[in-house]
Amino acid sequence: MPVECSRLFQARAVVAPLECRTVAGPFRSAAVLTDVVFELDNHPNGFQSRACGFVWNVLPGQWSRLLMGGQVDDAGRRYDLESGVLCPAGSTLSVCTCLFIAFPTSTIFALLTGYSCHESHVDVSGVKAVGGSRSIDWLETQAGALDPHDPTGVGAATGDVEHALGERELVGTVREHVHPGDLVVHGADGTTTIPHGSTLAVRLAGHEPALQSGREERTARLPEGTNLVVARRSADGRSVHWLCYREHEGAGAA
Amino acid sequence: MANLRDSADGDVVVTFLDSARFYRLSRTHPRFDELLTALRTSLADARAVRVRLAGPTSDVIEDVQPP
Repeated sequence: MPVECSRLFQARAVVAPLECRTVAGPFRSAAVLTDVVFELDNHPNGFQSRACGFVWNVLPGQWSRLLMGGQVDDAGRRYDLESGVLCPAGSTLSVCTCLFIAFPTSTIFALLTGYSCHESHVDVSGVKAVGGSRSIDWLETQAGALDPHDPTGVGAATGDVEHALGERELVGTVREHVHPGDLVVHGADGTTTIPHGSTLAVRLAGHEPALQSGREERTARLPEGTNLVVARRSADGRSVHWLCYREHEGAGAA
Repeated sequence: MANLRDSADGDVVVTFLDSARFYRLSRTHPRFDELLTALRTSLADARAVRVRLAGPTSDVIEDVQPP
């Protein structure tokens, strides 16, 4: 029986590395996803800026399926789905980004376009994931670490990647200018130097860690609850992007 | 190489400059001393090393070799 899907919807989001965000839904009635555009929203590493983004269709608490995704560079990435992907009523569309960052990774802008259907009960049991290559051509590929993660949180619980992701909760991102000289962070385990162009995880004792930026000593104000940061310093050393996480108790002992 | 830290359970936590993750060198590894020396040398000399993990999604370091 034909189903008419004619009400245009568009959803957009800017997603930081290691983030998973619901951008559309839950749909009142079934919907068809027809177009996806991924672009880098900023370019901390010029032409070397890369990220990866994945679109998931999720029926909360029941199942999720990876629809498409892969590496995004300065050229962006676009998927035009001629027949669209049916998403059942109650489901959502989420955009998730990579766990592992080989190069300092840009923020991804995602634009999802589709049509809502007039019929709520659409059988999606035969629908398979479509489009896009899952292979990611990083220069330093870490096979398992690049796996996208399951936004329902009920996926393969045995894998280290999923387990590790469950221990970190993104609480925000902060970008700030720093002196182009040495940048030292006083973390929970001592001092850590953040060289130019590097990406590095640091555990913190509090959400206002002491910094030494060149000759200046000061603190960084990060979102409350932050106890772990992934610091991404620009290639010229003049800015640092703090990806701020709450690492749940017990994770630090791993 | 970015850092080596002793963890409470005796393992060594390792961070690398291009990774958002933490890795572990287990004290039960039969070549623990040798691998730790290789990592310390890499850190001191600011030289890259090739690290093999116990599995594709594991954070456990199994071997450390010159690049």
